[in-house]
Amino acid sequence: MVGITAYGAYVPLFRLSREAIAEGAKGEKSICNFDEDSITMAAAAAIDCLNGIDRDTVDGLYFASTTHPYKEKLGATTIAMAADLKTDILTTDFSHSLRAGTSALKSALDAVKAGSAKKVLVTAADCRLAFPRSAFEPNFGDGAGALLIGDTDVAASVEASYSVYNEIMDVWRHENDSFVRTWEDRFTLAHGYLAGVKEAVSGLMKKFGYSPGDFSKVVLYSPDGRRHTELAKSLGFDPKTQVQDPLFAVMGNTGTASPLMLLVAALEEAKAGDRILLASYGDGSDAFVLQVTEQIEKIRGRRGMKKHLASRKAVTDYKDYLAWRGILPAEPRKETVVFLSAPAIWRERDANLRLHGVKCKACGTVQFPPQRVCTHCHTKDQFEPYRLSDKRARVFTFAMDRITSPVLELPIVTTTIDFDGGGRMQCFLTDRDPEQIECGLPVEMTFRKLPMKGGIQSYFWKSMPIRT
Amino acid sequence: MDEDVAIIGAGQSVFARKCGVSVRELCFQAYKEAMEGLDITKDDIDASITCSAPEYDKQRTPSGLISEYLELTPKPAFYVESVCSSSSTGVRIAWSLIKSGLHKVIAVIGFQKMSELTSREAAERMGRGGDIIWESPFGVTMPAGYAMYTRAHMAKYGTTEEQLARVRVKNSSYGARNPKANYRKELSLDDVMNSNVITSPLKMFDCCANCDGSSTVIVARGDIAKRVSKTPIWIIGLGAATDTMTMSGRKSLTGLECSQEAGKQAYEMAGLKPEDIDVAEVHDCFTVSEILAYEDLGFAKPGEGPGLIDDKETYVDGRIPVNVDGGLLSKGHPIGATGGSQIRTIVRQLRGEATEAQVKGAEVGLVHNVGGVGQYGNVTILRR
Repeated sequence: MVGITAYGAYVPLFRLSREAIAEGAKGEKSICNFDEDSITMAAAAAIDCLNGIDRDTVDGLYFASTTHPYKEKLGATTIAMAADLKTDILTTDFSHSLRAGTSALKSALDAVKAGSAKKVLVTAADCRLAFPRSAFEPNFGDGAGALLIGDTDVAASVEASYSVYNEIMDVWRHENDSFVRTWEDRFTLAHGYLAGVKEAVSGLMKKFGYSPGDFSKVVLYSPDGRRHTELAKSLGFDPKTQVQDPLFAVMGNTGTASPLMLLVAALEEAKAGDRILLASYGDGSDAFVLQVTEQIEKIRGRRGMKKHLASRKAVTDYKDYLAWRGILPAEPRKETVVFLSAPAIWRERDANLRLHGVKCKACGTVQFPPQRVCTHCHTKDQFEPYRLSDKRARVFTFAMDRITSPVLELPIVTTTIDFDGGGRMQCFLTDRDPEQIECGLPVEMTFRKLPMKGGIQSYFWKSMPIRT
Repeated sequence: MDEDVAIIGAGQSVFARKCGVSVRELCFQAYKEAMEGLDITKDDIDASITCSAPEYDKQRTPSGLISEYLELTPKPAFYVESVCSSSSTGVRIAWSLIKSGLHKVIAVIGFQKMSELTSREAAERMGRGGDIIWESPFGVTMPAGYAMYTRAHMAKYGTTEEQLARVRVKNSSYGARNPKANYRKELSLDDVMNSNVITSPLKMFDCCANCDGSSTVIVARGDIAKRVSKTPIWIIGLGAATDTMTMSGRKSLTGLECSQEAGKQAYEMAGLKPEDIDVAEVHDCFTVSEILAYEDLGFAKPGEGPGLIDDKETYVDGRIPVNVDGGLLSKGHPIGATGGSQIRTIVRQLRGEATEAQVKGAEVGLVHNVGGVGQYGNVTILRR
């Protein structure tokens, strides 16, 4: 039996009220902070998914996104490092379509089925840009989903899948474009989304002998929060009882990540014996039938969709959003306190991407950054790597700086934190409310991007108040 | 033993923002004052030590430039650096070179020309004084480093922003009387409390300012000092220490261990205790730094530093007068020049020349000079 053995998701803390974009628009959309991108969100979802799972058992990581920070440079490797996975595993990126998330899922299922991997972690994230004030802009939300695919302890087995492609210019973004383009709705919906998904779902049911009544939940990608209802009806499903809420009111369309995130939301509510239908869209459609098992009860306790959605902070100023996305240019700084050297980034990769400190084998003292001599017992070169990214910590002391860059987040908060179980580190505090920071504040670690320099997007860990 | 090495002259330039002079002319101003009234000429100086933090101006290896301008060539010239405590380190090296018998009279010249950078560029360079891989990219500018000490002190001892502000009120009252200070305006508690936040809880008037300046200390062998100077000031205690570059490696964030250790060494060498000090210059790059220094140097117990300023014990007529020249807060802080300027103040106090704020009958003085956010600690004890 091959299928989902664990799930995870990530929804950024911040939500932009749609009213701030277009008068009278309802609801809110999730937006990344200025220091987040698809890589950081996918890393967060991956780590949520791996909660309680031995990370050395994962032998593949796939990353799907249309908003990859690099055109040439893999994202899956960065995410694999942040998730602290071993290096002799499959890593690849899926891209160029909102269907990439389910294409990655299909490939992972096939890899496990074929025996070339035992456990493959599929991640998908998107942070798409719409033209400011366009009809797309209120719809696009940011987020990430992750599914661990394996053949033991399966919580939702994949019973069948079916894919179709359609070649159409409905939604696209050329290499030279920053913003997503579209043809008019009348054309794109009828000949793109509605036709494509219908063909995949009806083809799947026909090929494998299912009827609409066989499904307890139908998870459909929805471009605008409405059309999936029309689609569900035309396929014979009951929108009231069978169709997964696309979470449009609270999150928006998260692109490549959307089918995975909505499936996670469905799995959070599912019970053993449920049968779920999943369908994505983007230049065609991938459709899947999933059968939920007893194992589902054993993988609860993740943040997933529900807890991430409940943990939110409103952004009311549209200009903040534009500045965070780089649409509104920030004042250029002559100097920023960031030094990038490819050899240094490479040399320190375990410390800066895996957030490995060291633990003294003689006395157990934890130190970050890694050292050669124990500060406590002075034993030399007797350390084992020690992962700090999954440890909680408390703020020992902090500073709120108004004169340093970046200007996107003033005051910038620097913390000295003490990890539970030992180790002290200095780092920025992100997703913070300056009013609520105090010595003793409990924090957790989060993987974030640093300012770009010399064409290099580098990443490091920050502390953040624990999301509850 | 304690009349082996003396300071025979000390001078400083006016500390100012954007002063229109070159590095060499800046240094000459301090050198000129230091040599005044001495029965020696430049030819009697047999070595010079130039002290500054690099990268604030374009000149590399400035010791050569300065020895040329002061006509100290062909005597050897050295360059030492321990950021903000460079010139205290210079005096320590001068002491050692004289004690070793290698040299007899040494000019220790500290300078910094900071006005050629924007404040932001200067903050970036100072921040780079922290560990550039693990800490300075993550926000540790100078104010941020000391703000973290402040928060920790507040959390442990209940120290308040108002107590910090009182340090600036005191120092500004003396800065107003110091013709070489950059800021000569007396500030009220309200002025300080209402100033803009820089790195909370530190506000603008909790911070010293970058400026241009120079200092010179002439150090001489005991027998020569007695011959050429009416009032040699003896170097009787020297302490120097370091702490980790990384803030996260520090054992304490409520006191500077480098100051504590340097203080201990200097008191031991001088055979003195904190209560024997008549007047002190401490490194008040921020108001909190002065409070930490009270505790680190033993003028107050840990946590009781704020009480010292509350009770005005560090005013000129208090139990232990501190920074009665305005301190770094009022004088300004031209990094490499600061230690020499502090020494100059104590030399003037011990000679009874500090008419603008003289501590009556001062016999023993202490200079405390810190490099970086508590990376280098230097304590020098001087006796009349």
